[in-house]
Amino acid sequence: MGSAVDVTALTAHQCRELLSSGRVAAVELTQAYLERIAAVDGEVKAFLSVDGAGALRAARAVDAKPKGDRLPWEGVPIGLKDVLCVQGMETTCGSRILKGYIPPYDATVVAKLRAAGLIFLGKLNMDEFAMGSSTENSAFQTTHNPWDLDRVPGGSSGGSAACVAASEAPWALGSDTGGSIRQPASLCGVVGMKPTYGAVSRYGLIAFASSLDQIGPLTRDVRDAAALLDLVAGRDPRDSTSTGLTEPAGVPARTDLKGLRLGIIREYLGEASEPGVRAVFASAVEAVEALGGVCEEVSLPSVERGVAAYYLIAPSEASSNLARYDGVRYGQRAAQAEDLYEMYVRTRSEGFGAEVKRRVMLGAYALSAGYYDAYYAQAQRTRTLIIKDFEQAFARFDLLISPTSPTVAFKIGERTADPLAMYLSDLCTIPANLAALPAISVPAGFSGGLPVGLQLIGRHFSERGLLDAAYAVEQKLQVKVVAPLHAGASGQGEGAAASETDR
Amino acid sequence: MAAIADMRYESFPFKLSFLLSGACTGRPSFLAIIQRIMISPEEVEYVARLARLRFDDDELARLRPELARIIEYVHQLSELDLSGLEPTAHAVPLKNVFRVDEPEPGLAHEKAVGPGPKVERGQFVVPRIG
Repeated sequence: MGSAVDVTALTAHQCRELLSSGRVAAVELTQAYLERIAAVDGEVKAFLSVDGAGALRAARAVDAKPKGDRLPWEGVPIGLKDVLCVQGMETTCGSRILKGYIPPYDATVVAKLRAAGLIFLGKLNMDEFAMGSSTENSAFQTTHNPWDLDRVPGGSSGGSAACVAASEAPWALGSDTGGSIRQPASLCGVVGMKPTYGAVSRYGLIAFASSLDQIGPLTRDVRDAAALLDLVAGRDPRDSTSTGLTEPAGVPARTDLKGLRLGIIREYLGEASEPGVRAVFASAVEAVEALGGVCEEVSLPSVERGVAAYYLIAPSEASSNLARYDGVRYGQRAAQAEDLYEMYVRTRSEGFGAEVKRRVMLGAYALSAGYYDAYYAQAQRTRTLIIKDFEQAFARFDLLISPTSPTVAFKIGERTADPLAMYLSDLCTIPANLAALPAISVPAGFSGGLPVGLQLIGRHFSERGLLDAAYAVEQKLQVKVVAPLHAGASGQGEGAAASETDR
Repeated sequence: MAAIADMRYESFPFKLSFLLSGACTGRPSFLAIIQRIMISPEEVEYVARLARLRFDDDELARLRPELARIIEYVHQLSELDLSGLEPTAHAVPLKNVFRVDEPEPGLAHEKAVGPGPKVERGQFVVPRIG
């Protein structure tokens, strides 16, 4: 140990200040995070791989530059979900089938962060191919929630959320197909944002469901989320569905919500959420009103069909996207297959885990002749219905709010026997993916010592306003407790969650 | 992998077995409110072949009821009257995304084939076809 820097609860913009003021060298900062990872990741298991040598090499290069020549975020470390291709760094997507895969190119977001001078600490655990809500579907390890190591961090970006909550990195990138950024952010007490579909390029993001996937930030505060979004957003000729943002998110500074109308999604009230989540949500609504926001219930009846539509659309797209894992061009190949068909079947049957197989089967079934109209087309029409409900709601409201997750973090193993119960974890987050809307989860409080997130959903490409509002809420709620991880250097969070914050 | 890309077009030889309130109906009815859905081993085997997957008996014993339960759940969409609604494939409509057609260097050949499990003379080697 003996590092000069205490990284506990450090934000990325605080890292930036430490570096620019010259109080800390990039190498010292990176070293401090590597030491923190060494101290706590044996318990948290957020990282699938840590590139200490590469990170220190990059940090030394930053220190060698004159301060005046440095870019604003140069030397700030970051963690990357293992769904993102990084040239020369093993990228597994949490799957055995990609074990040992070293991408020959960078994802666009990775290239952007590299160009901005960020330091890559390593690759973060996830549910295999981002299919899951707990990281228990990772082929390699289950990540533990820093607030309670017996509980899941959420998923699929559970490694990203846990690493930020455990101060193993100041921020991280994740991806969100049905809530995979926001749900783990909520369960780990950090900020997580899914941008409008198309705001961020998907080039080099290993595809799950291409019409839903978006990359986004997981951070300790809203300002960092805005900064990381601005670093990675933009139109990319390599992703023809990318459009970029209409205006940069900038630095959120709004201190009130005066003049804003916020719709409380009625379908997520009552029995949809557990009582502790409802209580925190109710106090968050009070905070919003105290800030001058006008809250009113609004009904979007179709969102209750979101999970059903999602579990047809996403597996259908996945069954098509995952056809590429055939043992020919990358990843693992089953040994001793005598012909090509046998090689395909063995490679895929040995390489994919149970949940991935389940979804590929579901998707192939839904797309097969005779069922296409009844399932896939019906799900896509339901998607249209959900979009129309959101359009109507946004005619009356500037933002929509709900709990991010119907429950707090659940126990490891609690839902693995019941895929459908796991799917319902994403009840509140899925509709924003289906409608391509930007949505953010901010920490709103605690229930039984476990974090609860507030979800804010905005209109297409309203990221700036959405982050501004989220910032105002964050400043009002002041949820600033550090995860009580006993391996931590400071120990300041020990037991704090339960005593300070239960309402 | 043309075989998998084409799988949608193979015809489906089996009928789903729908049990409506305990009584068998002759053909699938998507208007029924409560349906128990059964998937036969043959249906699972057929879809597995489409998906280039194989399951042993233990896996099949778990998979069949799991798939049935999920399909039962998603089947609720059949209650909705969605006539007159267009299906949405992409929620942010984009039109005519063009770029200038200028040649630029792509990924070098040796880098592109680099991650392949078996490569010879710059080509992917596969077992005997068919």
